[in-house]
Amino acid sequence: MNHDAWLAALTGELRRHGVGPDLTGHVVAEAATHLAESGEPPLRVFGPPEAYARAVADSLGGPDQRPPRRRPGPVRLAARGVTKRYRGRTVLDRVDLTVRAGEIAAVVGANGAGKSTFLRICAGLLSPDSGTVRIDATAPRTAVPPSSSTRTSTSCWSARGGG
Amino acid sequence: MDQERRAQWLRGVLDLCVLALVSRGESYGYELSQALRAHGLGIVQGGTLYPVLLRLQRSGLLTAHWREGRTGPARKYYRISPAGSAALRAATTDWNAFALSVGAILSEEPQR
Repeated sequence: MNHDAWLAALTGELRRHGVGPDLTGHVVAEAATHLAESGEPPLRVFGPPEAYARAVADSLGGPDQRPPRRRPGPVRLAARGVTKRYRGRTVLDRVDLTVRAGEIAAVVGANGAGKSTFLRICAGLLSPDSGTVRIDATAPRTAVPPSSSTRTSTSCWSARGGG
Repeated sequence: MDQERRAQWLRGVLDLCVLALVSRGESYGYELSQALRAHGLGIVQGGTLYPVLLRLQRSGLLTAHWREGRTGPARKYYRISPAGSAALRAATTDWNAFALSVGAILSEEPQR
């Protein structure tokens, strides 16, 4: 099983175990980083997706004791109906994404699924065939230094096969 | 060494070892797995390590944030919290007392 197939299966298994989309994004992205850095096969490092998802769900057993997070702020990125075709192939088909200030979003997908294309469109580096991207890049009006202020962050990795 | 017993021991202290390593400076999963190995604890696979990190984060002993690497993928960095430092100090005292007791029993000369 290659990295991307394993990560996609893990995403599904975490959902099945009732892990929320935010935490699922973090867990999958962290696993992807580890696999990229260690260069080891996912089955050896993490075991089968189902078993790892269960271990993650089990480690959430107790109540969340961290101080409550700040509520997500205003919408910073709103992608609506983003569609992109390459050489007659539809790479992105009416993709929506809303990211609010203080939220973390992970874009997860198999090799060639269109993650980079989607993010390039969100960043304004590429035009969609249809759909819109609205970005509100207003800096938060607070006295907090930038390092600890709320910010919108999109985490992605370059997909790699093999392993 | 008996691998099963070793795994059992590790289960009991892995969270403390991770807390102690992170207390020396922020770190991320892969680096921590390397550090554990360098300290002679063998290979702690991601499937074991990350749930421990998640539990420590959820219980407020570690804080975490993502940071882009200059090269390579973004990493989730962990830092010890004040509650984590306090828990580590208490657990270190407890562990030392426990290890001392076990050591005393194991190395006691049989009575005649």
